[in-house]
Amino acid sequence: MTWIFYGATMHNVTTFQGLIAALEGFWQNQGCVILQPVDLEVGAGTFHPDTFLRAIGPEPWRAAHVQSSRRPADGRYGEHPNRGQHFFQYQVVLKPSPANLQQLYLDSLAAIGIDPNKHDIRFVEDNWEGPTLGAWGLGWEVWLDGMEITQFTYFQQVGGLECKPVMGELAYGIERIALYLQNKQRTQDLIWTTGQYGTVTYGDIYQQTEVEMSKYNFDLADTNMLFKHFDEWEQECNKMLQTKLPLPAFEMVLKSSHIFNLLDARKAISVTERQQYILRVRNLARQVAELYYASREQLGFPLLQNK
Amino acid sequence: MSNQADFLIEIGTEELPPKDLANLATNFATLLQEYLIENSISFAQDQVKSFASPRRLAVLIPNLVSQQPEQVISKRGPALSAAYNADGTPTKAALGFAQVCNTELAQLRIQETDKGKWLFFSSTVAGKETIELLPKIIEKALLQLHVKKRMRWCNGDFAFVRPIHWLLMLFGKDVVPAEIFGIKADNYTYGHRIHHPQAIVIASPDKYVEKLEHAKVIPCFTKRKLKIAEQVAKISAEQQASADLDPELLDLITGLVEYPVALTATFANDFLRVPKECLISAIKKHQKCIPLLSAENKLLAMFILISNLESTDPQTVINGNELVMHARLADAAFYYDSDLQTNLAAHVPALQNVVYQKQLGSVYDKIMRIEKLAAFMAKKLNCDVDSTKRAAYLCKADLLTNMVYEFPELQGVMGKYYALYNNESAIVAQAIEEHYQPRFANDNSPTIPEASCIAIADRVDTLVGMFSIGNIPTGEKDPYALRRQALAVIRMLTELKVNFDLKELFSLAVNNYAPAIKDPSNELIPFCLERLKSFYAEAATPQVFAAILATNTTSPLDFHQRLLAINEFLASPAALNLAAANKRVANILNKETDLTDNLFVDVAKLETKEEQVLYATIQNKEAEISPLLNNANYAAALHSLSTLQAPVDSFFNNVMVMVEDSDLRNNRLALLQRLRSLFMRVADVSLL
Repeated sequence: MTWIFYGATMHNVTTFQGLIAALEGFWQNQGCVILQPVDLEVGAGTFHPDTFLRAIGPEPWRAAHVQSSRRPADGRYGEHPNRGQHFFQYQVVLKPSPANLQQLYLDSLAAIGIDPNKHDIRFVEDNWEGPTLGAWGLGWEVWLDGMEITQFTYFQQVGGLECKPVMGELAYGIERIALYLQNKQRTQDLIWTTGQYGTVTYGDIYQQTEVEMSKYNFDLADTNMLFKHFDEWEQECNKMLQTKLPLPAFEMVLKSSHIFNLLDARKAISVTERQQYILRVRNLARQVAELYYASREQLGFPLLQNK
Repeated sequence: MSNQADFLIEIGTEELPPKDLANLATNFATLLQEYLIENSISFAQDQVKSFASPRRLAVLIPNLVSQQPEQVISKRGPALSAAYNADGTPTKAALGFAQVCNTELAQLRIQETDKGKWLFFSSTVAGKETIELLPKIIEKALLQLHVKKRMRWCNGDFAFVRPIHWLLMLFGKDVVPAEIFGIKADNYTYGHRIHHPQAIVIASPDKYVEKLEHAKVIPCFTKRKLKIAEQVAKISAEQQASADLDPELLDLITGLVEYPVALTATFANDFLRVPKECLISAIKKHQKCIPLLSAENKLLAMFILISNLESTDPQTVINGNELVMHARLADAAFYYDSDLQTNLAAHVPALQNVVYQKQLGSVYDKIMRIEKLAAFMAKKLNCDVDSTKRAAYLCKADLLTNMVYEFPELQGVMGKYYALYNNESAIVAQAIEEHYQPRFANDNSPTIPEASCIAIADRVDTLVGMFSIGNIPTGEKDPYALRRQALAVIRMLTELKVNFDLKELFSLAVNNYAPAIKDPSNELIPFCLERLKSFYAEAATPQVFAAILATNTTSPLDFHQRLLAINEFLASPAALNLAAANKRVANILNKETDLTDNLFVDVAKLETKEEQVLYATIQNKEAEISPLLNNANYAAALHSLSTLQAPVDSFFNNVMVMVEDSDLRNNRLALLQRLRSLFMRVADVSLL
């Protein structure tokens, strides 16, 4: 058992919840706003409004939070050792990206008990692109003894807008990290917590979800209904854009994006149509980004003021 | 400082893209040299070295002179006629030019060229110190560096491959005073991120490599590559195995480590039930590890990983990699098992939903066309028509399997495995796999004719389709690799040893399209003949190529057979004379522009003995070579025709063709026409 201290708190990083708490502690010490996950279905932390929208414009931002993420096409009916349609990311965004971001990241690994003298940690080129968000960045997937544990990105463009200053994003794959720390083979076997009432595993909480949601995502989701919803949310988003409300409009981008992912998992969209759907979501995201920028500008970019 | 010294620059960065690493460094070195030469600063050009590792690009330029030589500045001013007025006073233009040159009018010279006279200024200025010029040169090289995608970081405006952290710039023992991309140049570097995170002072450029190697960084790309290859060879020998380490993978791995440490790891034997190509793809492509094969070329449940660390506990690194490999292979096994749930043939109707090309229909439409054309060829080849049709029907079905979706490079290979699993015949399975061959210039052609039929039909269908909608390669641009595909068709048709006329194949392929497409033969045939020319760039001289081209044959095999015969014929003593005689005939006929083809030879008007003999010989030869030509026995035909030399020679020695009497003249021309068309049945010998 590895115990990590932050201030008065002690975290057992060999439990899943202890690992999360240790990361929260580390990034709190780095002056981050500790946020909560966005309460909509998203494919990654990048879709959190406090990442996507905060990457736009000149205002500085430092935040960290867990994000539950859904990738319907990655479901494996609960049978795969480390792939599922639902997983968690630990999302950290720092804007402007500090010069020592790589070192901070390595320090965070040390803080959760990963010794860089023992483990082969590698920054392997990965040029991230979020086609539905009109966003791209350069960076790496970070490998821990061959396993991708983090997506490390310097955002260059978001919603079609140049990022200036640049936001650095760290998206930790916390299940994978936990597999190492707990020396387990399967995500399902990870210990979520252990205490006076016994042990609860990741599988105890999510195994049934994986099986049922895989069935739904791959085999049962009503594609006609989904196509209809996609069109409706797109219309609703356009209405919000016309009403100059970028935040509700962004929620509708997220909804459309998730519906697209479901249709994709159902293989309901042909190759040529696929590109069309991606463009439709991207088109919305771009307009949201522009509208958000304008709204912040109107407010005088409040976060530029040091309080 | 002495008048020359070594110059070293190292740019310390965050991890650079491994694929571009070697090129970035050589490109940087090339640009630096180019700009130094532009500034007439000399150095030891044959001793320039570049270095590249994940966290640094460096160039060492030995014996760089410290002082730029005197620079000659020359400028041309206005034309003399515009420099002075009629009264000899200087014009505004002349005075202005002198002012720009910072001199007096009297100091200007007159330059005379064949186009006129001009005012001319030339002077010499002292050269600058190299150390003063270096920062601009470096900055220019970094901006011009060929980088696929640049990025910005923090608040900066500058963009580079990855963020820059330090700049080591030494000219001899001196730091070059410079600030580039917001970083001040200094005399230190950093070692391996984990083993030696402290700064390392480099006292002079020649200490660079030694100091870094001491700090667990091998900066030389080639040296690091060799070290990896050696370690892999050692482990393979220990395991009595051979490593599947292609040059591309080796370069990639070299670009991922500063200090390679090879480790051996294993995976569960159970995965070996999955076709080895899938496992190898997962090991190489996803994990950038190296598979090991037995002496029987079977995959072993073992792989080599190249870490970037002398771990305090190598077993941890091995365990971690095994865990990931397990998951990767479990993925491959999942794709394989789930693919087996569906019969390969069941995917075919769904190919209707896969667009091949917007204007050319779906992949399903394409395989229907391939099937027809391949069946036509199979009949003519006398091979297994039913198997050909079945394989053509199934040849693209694996595009809809999970495995090929994940590993596109396994198309064809998976089709074979799944076909066998679904009890398709061995020929069908093999034809599905091989119809993608040849994939590149030196790849093997299909080994069975059934596969060749499909391979050719597929490409011919693509060629006529793409040409009909105007997707014709121009210059460098050939996004659909149509040149390569045409070349493959020519090569396979030649190897098949059965005559297929390109014109006929193209016309059949065009007719297979519904809705109808425009017949692109007018562009496509010349395009293929151009490919044929490059195909025979070595085997045929331009003259031989032209001689065959003149016969208008569009069958690659026929072309090939004629070529072999002519090359053989050219070695015979009769060749030169016969060519000369043909040239004479061709010259005479070509001058008579009004001449119609196929003039009739009137035997009654053959006045001289020489004419009669020549005519009789031509008739004999016509009968003699017909069966030879039917069997494409061009060598024998040419041999037979070479005996025409004597009657032709005596005809020219004794008979005047261009006589006054037009009947007589035309009859003789008709005789020559007959002679020429006889030769033309093999080649235009006059061009040899």
